[in-house]
Amino acid sequence: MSMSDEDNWQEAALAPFFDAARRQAPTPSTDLMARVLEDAEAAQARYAAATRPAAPRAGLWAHIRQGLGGWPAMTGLAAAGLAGVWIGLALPEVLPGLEPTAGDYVVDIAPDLALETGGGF
Amino acid sequence: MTMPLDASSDLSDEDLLDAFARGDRAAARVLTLRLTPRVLAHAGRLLGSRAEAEEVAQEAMLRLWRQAPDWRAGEARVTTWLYRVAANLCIDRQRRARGGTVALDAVPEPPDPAPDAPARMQDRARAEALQAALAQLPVRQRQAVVLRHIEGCANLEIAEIMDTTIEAVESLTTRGRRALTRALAARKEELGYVDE
Repeated sequence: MSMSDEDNWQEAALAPFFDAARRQAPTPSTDLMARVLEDAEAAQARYAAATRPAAPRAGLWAHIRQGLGGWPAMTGLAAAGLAGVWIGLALPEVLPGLEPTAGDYVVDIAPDLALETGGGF
Repeated sequence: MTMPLDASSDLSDEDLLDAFARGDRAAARVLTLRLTPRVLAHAGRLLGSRAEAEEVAQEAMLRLWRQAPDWRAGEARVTTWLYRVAANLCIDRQRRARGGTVALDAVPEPPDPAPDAPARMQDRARAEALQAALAQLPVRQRQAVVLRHIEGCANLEIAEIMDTTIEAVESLTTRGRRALTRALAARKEELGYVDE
């Protein structure tokens, strides 16, 4: 018998054993399948977390805005500022009816302060 | 994203792995159902121990899950990669084990045969005898024979799995078959050897 014939004979002789091994393949336990699937889902969760885009960092302006109470407060602040500018520009230097007269006098609310300041030098 | 999949899905392992990497849980189930039995069987044939084969199968599958986002399509088949990982895990275990021998009672547990089915009993006897004979082969011969004759891989794929040449694979399988033939010849009557 040549080497090739011998090899062929051996293959044919062993074939029923290989077939039997395939048919008798172990069936995975439900516990193993559950563990494998659990690992799969944990891995998916890990790379979902790794690829999720990070929330943009709040800038300085956002911090200031939040500190002042957010957009509603900012709107009120802006309105108040504009009103102040308008009052400064539009009103006369002296309000009508409040012009100083001869009978008016000034009340010194801090006479001591004036004395100390004046006599210190 | 999910798609209606089951274990008999027509999608290739590579397409499923791509879907898996994009978060498809159905793909995870199909790949688990499809590949775990194959890895378990392969590890069992190399190790001869059901318990150890289960650990190897879980570890090999875990490595596949971790590899999925970096899988490069067209570079290798998923099963080729898995057989390679599983075999390396088996070989590492055997190197660590004292003497690397396999206990006689540690052959994989086949499914329970119906006691009144002689054909199944003969199948079981043959599978057990083959497993015992495989355990006596050097690990590379055993790996090559199992991949070629039980898993049904082509020599080119085996060469890829074993990181060797096709000629080396042919030599390993030839020597392995001769050793198996000698080992099983002693039980030819009992096992119906060359009787088909």
